[in-house]
Amino acid sequence: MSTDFRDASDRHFDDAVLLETQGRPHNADHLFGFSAECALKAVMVGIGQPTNAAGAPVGHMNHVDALWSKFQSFSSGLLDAKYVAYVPPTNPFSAWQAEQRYWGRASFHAPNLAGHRAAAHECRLLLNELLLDGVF
Amino acid sequence: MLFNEALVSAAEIALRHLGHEGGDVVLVRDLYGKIRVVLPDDRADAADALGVELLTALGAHAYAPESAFLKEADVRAALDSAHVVGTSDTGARALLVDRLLTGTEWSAPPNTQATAKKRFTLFSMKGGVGRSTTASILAWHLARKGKHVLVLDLDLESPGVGTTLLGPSLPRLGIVDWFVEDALGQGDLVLPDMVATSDLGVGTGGKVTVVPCFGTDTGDYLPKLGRAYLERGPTGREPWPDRLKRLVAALEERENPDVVLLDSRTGLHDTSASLMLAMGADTLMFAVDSRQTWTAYQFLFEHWHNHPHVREFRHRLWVVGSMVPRQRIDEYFEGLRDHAHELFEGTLYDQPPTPGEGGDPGDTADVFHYPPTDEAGNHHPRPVLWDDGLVAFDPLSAWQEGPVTAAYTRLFEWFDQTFIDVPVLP
Repeated sequence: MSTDFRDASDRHFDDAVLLETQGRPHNADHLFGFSAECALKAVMVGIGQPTNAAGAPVGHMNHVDALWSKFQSFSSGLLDAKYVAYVPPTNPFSAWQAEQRYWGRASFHAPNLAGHRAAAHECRLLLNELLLDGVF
Repeated sequence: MLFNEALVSAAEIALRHLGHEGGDVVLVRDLYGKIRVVLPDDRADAADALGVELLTALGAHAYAPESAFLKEADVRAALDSAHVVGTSDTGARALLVDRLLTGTEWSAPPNTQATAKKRFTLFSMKGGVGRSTTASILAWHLARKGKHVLVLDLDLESPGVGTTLLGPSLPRLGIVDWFVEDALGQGDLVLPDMVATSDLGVGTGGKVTVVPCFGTDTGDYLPKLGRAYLERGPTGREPWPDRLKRLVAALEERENPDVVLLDSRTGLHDTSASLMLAMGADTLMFAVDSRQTWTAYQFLFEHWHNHPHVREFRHRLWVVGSMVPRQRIDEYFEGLRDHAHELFEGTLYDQPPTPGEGGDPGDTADVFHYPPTDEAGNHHPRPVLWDDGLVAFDPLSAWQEGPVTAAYTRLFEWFDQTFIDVPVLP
């Protein structure tokens, strides 16, 4: 099984930062969204949501624009609550779409980038909590 | 190998492999009690041998060698919580980052900032010892001295003092409603509707204001209780004690009381820790003279013995001897007092000062220590006498003031002298 959400989250985040610093905000924005998606899926798997044969959480085949709210909605119990508290309930990726990889550059809303970067960073801090807790 | 031995062994092994003079080795014990070592970036050479030795020694409390290490960057943000668990002959220290699901608040730094109001936490290690009854009667006593007393019922799992003091005259909402709405940024909508005035204060010259766990419109309580401990406020992640501090400060600003009484839940729960450490309150610790009581307190005091900030809060912990029997009272009280002293003596009290020559008691200025019979000592139980009138006590129905007051005479005398009738310096 090649799925490794944690590593994929790191990879997308690192590449996004690289793109942003080199003046490529459009694809940076795209990758911040995927980094957050992978981080949330890593958490969901870590706290025990059932997974399919590919190692993805069952019933959550979404990108981050939809997954963010589902992550909040399905959390229950002490362990889930601990981790849910690390990310805001209001979806910072509501304007992000996986389809933006097909968009023309003029269609991007540049101010969204900072919020997406910040939210993806929060997801990485959350991942670190699970790492220290031994949940992975 | 089991939990206790695993930490000792891990510290010894890690220090032997990584310790160097004056340096620190960091261990991380996770939610399962499994231990990993932070491998310095320049010590990759030590990984193979160290990983194998940890697994061999710790067994189920270790990770497989390829997963036995964390990077320095992984723990940087968590290092503030680390404490020393071992040292080597060369002076190297083993620090532990201990990851807990609950109970972290017992190790938290105390709030040492001056609070706007005098706050008191009422805590009991065991239930049924008259803690909430005392909260009610203490509020009445202070109201008779002309004080405005604000009482918060923070025994959320077993609401009591709110309904005791208010009867059916509850406000519309309560503390659980505030926590639920505050997480969504709507705490201010609840605040005006979560406070009510108790009839107990009528005619006293003072006032008793109460914030109960729930109100008339709270509805189904459990779905709200199940959300009350979310560690998230309107502006982001926020530890629960900080949320509670905001609530109490907002209520104090709104109600402007002279004294705030915080009725805690029983036992070693995070909320109790928050009320004792985070609120900047003096804590009345209720005790009856029983083995269960002292054993449970011993767990807490031994933990606090190693608390890095214990000197900042130990002087604000006061023993209250509850339900002291009137029969053979002297004999009972001496036992209670001596057991309380034993508790403090081995944990929170300093070593007694060394006597000097010619009967000089020695330098006592900075020594936190009291002999068993010293009534000024924090251990010295301030007694509440047993009284039939206090059983199923309902302050809103007819009750005999005389016997109840008599039961509390010594506690109130001490309380007033220590906290209330203190002259204000110019």
